[in-house]
Amino acid sequence: MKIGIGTPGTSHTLSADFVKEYARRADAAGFSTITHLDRVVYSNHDTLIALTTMAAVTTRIRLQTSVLLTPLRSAALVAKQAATLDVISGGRLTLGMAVGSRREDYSVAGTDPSDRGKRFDEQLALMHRIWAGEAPLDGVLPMGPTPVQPGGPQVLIGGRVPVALRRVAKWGAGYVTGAVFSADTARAIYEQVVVNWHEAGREGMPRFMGTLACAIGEEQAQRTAESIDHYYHYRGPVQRGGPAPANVATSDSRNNIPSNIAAIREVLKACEAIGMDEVVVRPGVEEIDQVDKLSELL
Amino acid sequence: MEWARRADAAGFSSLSLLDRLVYDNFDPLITLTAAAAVTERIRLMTAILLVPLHSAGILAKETASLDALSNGRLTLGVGVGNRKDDFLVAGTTHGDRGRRFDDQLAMMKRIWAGEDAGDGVGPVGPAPVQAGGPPLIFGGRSERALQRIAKWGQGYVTGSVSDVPGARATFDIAERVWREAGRAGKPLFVGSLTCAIGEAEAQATADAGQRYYSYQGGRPANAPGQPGSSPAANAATTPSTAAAILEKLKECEAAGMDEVFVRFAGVTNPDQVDRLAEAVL
Repeated sequence: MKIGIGTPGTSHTLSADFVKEYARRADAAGFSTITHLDRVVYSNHDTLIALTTMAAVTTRIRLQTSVLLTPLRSAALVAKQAATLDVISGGRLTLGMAVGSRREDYSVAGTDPSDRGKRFDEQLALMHRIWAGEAPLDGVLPMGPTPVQPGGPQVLIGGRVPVALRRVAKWGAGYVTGAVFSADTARAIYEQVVVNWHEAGREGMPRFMGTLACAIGEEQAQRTAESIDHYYHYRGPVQRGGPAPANVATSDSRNNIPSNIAAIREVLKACEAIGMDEVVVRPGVEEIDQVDKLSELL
Repeated sequence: MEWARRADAAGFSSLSLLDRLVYDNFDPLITLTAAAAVTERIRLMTAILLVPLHSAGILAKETASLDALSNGRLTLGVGVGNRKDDFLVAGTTHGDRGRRFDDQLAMMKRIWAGEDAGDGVGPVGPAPVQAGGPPLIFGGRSERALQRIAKWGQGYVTGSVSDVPGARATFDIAERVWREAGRAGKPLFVGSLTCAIGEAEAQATADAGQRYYSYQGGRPANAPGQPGSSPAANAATTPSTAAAILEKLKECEAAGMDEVFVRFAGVTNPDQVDRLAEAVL
């Protein structure tokens, strides 16, 4: 099972030097992927801009949005930006995508949250047409650049509702969990993804990626828990009435942020046992040496 | 990225990139971000970003992030854009783009200032390094476009300056509007000059210009002479030697320009950066 690393994006605005050095160390240490999260009304750097900065100073590591809230954005612009980043990074981009559910993000983006699921489906279709070099719409010329990865960047889908899981089989290479999850829930979700995958007649198996909030050090783990809490409750509780967000944490799992290599290894073993191909370890503290300490897992 | 490194080392003042959607170009913000990551000094500029194609909230966040990650080196050349196919594919409306652009500028300024983004949602973040956000310079020729400079911006950026007296005449109006708005000092006057070192390179640049300015419905071959196609987009007016470029730059300086971008296209050899640097710096 591969091990990736996430930027501590849940409660900090990171400096340019930090972002670059974090990516350089992760690349050199041998992590498989580096991820950055997406929110609008939040202090994080824009996901694609941050990943591009990391792409420019690394040569090997894959770069992943985790996850990009696509219906907040124009699909054509995302397609162009993602294709550009795929070219600049030499084909290292993975787009983790989901719908997101925070009304204030939709308000600032100026898009309608009520039909976000339907729009996301249309967006996935449009992006794939653009990446394939087809006309985005009738009577409009194709648009570039051509991504390095044939057909576009690898797509992973997040979310929990049935319609989200069906998107994996239709558009994705696999499924990505949120930052805190229980093995039982993740396994149940993935089993459904596999059923959909086979029903859709796709060959092989969908990729299965987990995200694990963790940190090295008791105090760092505590602050990671707080940062997740801050992130998920930044502007009050998640909106009701829509699908549950992909990665809402239970309070119980927030209290169980693993804080040393042995404890993290134990969780990783559980992840591997339920069939995960890759897990991203994500500390929530702005300490550059977390990369070095976590690289003991490799 | 090699381009960006060489331009930074050679001492060019800024690196600029254009914006189109239905076109083969790289996305300007992503490309400038990559350039920012491998450079220390050079300013990064969009020339120009077509704001009404974007969501103002998302664009404000993207540009604040780029400003933060480049340590405050971003300048946004902005304009409304005109090509219907770009608007169609972006999923935004074309008819009211001017009015929307004004609303977008107000919203982006609020977000950059850390104020409520609207509807009580609070500040967006991250904070740009440059206080109040990256400086805005505007393209376009209408009086309404030039009034935006006085209201929101720092200066005026030309299209490709084949016609320097024409650019100066437009800038005169920008200066008048600036004074009428009661602003102190002068707006910045920035030119872009399409050129290349070498006959073949100049031809390639001119060809690329024609392709770029071909509107929807127009195949590249139909582009020359279409309304709106660039007067500069032909080989005869694309300077191709150091002497010709220097002469043109002298003319730009005499007309009062503060900065001129030498811009080539259709040529991907990074040597062009060094040759231009040798010629003009």
